Amino acid sequence: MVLTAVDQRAEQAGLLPGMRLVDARALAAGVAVETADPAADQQALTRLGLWCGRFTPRVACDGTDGLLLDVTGCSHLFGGEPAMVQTVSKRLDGFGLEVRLGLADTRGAARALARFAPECRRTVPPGNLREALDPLPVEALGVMRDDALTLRHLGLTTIGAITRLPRTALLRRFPSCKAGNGLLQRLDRILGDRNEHLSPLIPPPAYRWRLDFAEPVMHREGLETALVDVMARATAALKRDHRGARRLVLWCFGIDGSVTEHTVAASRPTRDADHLRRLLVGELETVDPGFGIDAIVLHAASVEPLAARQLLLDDGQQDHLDLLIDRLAARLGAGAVRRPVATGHRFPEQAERLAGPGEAPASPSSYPDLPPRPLRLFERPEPLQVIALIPDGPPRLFIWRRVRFRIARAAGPERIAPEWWAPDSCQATRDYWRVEDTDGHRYWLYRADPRGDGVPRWFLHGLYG
Amino acid sequence: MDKNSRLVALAALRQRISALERPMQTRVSAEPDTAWLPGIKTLDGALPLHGLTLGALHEAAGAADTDGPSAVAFLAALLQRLSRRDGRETILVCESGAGRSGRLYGWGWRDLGGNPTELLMVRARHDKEALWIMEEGLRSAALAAVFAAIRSTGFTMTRRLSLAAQESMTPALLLRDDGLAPTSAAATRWLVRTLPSAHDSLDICAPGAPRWRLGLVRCRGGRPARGDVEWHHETGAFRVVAALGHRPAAAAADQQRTLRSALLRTG
Repeated sequence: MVLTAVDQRAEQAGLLPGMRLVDARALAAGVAVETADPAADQQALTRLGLWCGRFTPRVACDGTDGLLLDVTGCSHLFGGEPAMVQTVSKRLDGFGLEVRLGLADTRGAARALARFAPECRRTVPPGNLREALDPLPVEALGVMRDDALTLRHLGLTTIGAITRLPRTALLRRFPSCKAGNGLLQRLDRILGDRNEHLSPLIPPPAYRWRLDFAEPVMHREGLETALVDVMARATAALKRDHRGARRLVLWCFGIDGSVTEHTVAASRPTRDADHLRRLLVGELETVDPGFGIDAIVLHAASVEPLAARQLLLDDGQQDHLDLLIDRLAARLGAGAVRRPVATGHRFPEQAERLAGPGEAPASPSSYPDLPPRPLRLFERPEPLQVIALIPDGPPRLFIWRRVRFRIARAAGPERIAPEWWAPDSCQATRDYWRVEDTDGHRYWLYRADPRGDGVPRWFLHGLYG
Repeated sequence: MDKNSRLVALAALRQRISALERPMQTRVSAEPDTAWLPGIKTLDGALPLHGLTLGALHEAAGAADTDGPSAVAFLAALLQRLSRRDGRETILVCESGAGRSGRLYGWGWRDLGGNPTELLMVRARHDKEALWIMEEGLRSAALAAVFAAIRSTGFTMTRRLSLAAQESMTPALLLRDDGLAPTSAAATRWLVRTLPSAHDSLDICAPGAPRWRLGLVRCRGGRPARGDVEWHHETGAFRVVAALGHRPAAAAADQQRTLRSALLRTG
């Protein structure tokens, strides 16, 4: 067992990450140990990253223990860069996290400052990047371990020492590599001479509206009022661009650092503020404001063109229907509202598919003529015991759910064979019988694999009315 | 109490009842297309205006546990008789819970004469949700009809559904598993019992058109009635069954014949 991380007090006691647990116990007898859970750490980091979405829309995870916030164009909202660093660090300190912050012109530089600068909070004003980076150790470049070691052996211990060397000499000893962490590649990125990409946790949305509350909102009613306000802005923007939203996401930022996400989808693009708000209000019923919510962000995650429409003469029945489908889907989940569609397959359970409301409806002619099918179908055919007078003859009696049914009439068999043209059809042939018992109840039975040898196996697949 | 005062009391009671019933009757007669005609000769006479009220709740239940599918089929057949108005074509179908008797199958719906593509199937986890879906569907005024199958419900909910149906002029059909519970605000309540069918016209061994014994147990503004009917999906009409075909001797002879022809065909 090895230590993966230690806190400040443990460090003072002489414990280091990578140390064996027995050695650690020898140094500090009363040390408290928790089992490392990297997956949970990563989750917590992602959660924190989402929470940081309140400062800027562009947040990304940096390795397993860092977050990158692209605050370009955001800092003035918090009173300038130094003030923003203050705000961020105050909020994060408030969560009891030990944080180091660096703010600089480039992503690499900010990362290097946060991780290797002697002070915990470091802001570099624009243009002073080189001076700030010069005293940092070479590891801050983020190059491979071997390269960093070689540099140290060469007596190049700081970034400043490297930048003073001619590029050609560096390129000869440290060729650039595909992974992008060759020495010169890193150096160019850190100094802003080469582009560096950021893959944000939340993809940059085109439509995003934010509302900050002066006082944290403690009740759902307050949130609903706020939603009206945000929705009005959202629909105005959508209307301006002739667009409609298919999917809306609402984030509620709790004052305690919790973030809840609520997604609603519409069956077709819409910018009807009332309708969208009603969909979201249903979702808000599950929100627990906890200690209060101090900001909400509404985000149109999927947007499609929607031209202004003329009023129709049929009272807009289709509109009413779409609104109804959206309301049902928002409350019950997207998979709960479906329309039957004939698929053209042979086996009854595959012959019909339940399609989502967004899919194009099938034409009635897609249900071709076949012998009568039952009104109710079992998703999983139920095994039966069947007695027939002669092996391949019609069934005379069957036992289903421990009840005996005497058959008065039977029609069949209708043979359904596997689809030889479908490569993955592994079903066995079935002989279907339409039978009626002495009381008049009708059933749809089948015998599996009638040409196979052994005991015939029978199943009940449906009930007629 | 002498005979005269009894007559007077009866007349007063009749007057009170007709006063109670009048608001509904005037509402029904105000618009001629508010009724929906099942076209069952023996039962139509029992219904007010010889039809079912459009904006109302209609309940059905199987007479026995095994008659559930027949009750569904009867309601489905009734829906085929309903003419679509104002471009309302979709029928919302909602079944609560994972049914012990499978799910509604579009192909079977087609074989009763319906069009499966006009169905909108909504899955509900429990009765309460199913009733919410039903009410929501009724209030939307965009559906041809709303049909739900649930286990049981109380009076208040049926009243809510009735009002929602009346408001949007959308028929609400409710299938209940609990038989017909004593209290309900439904306009009509039907009890469906499956009857053995006559043989198919082309195949003597095969089952023919579905046959049900319908009991109109309760009918607001009408009177209870019963009758045996067959549903013919090709014509989209109910046919009254003559009682003669059910004589025991005929049934026995029929069975003999069935057996013989089955043996002949397979042997």
